[in-house]
Amino acid sequence: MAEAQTKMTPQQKIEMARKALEGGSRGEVNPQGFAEDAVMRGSLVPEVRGRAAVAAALNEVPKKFDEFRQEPHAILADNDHVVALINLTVKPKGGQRVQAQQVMVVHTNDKGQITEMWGMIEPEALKKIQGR
Amino acid sequence: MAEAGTKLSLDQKIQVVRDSFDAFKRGDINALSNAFSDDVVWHGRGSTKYGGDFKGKQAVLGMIGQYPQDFQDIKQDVHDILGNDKHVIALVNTTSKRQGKTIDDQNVFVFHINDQGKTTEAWLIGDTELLKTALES
Repeated sequence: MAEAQTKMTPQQKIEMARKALEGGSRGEVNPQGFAEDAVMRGSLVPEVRGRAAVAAALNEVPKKFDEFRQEPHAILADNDHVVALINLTVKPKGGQRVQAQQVMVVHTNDKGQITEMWGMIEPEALKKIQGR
Repeated sequence: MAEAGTKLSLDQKIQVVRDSFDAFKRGDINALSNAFSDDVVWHGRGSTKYGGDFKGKQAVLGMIGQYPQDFQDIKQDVHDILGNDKHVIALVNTTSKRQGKTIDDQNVFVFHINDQGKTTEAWLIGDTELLKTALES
């Protein structure tokens, strides 16, 4: 996990993350929320680099499922990170609904844009989501 | 995850968690024991012996004590600890060895800390598939 400093307050970053998650669940991620060289590593998508690619990849995720709902249980922030604990509900196409806990760790720059994002779903729940 | 309130300051709660990782690093079981409430519940993930719920201090300490028996050269780099009124979250890069193979994992620990500065509930989120593969090797 790389280091990053920001001038946004933790509370501002928490609000930013909450809005981003709301948009993400609808497949309406705002590309301007990401730095041009943003990097995302996640359980549901391979490593993606670049603002447009990250936003596009995130917008594709809900389309892969009959249901995709991210409900933040808690969002914490400090000078370096934003961490979201998320209750995730996913229903794969033609499959059973899976509930899992997801953790997202985010770095932001001075403009409040996401520079790096790491998302993790517990692997054994991920297997069910992916039908493996 | 259940909710839990506390009167400790944020910095105090973060220090409680930092001290717990330091105690584990030293192998200081007494300090580690003092960090948990008697009725602590530890929620592990996955289908290994570290998965499932461990209820009570002795069960939790027993599970934690098993880890150095299964893995060698355990290094926990506490990358950051964040807190709010309900949770303390530790981002930890963990490196260990088993049968000569190095295992790197990024772990997220979530803690509830009570008014006495003791952990009442904890969750560990990590790569349980990696753990399973390592234990089966």
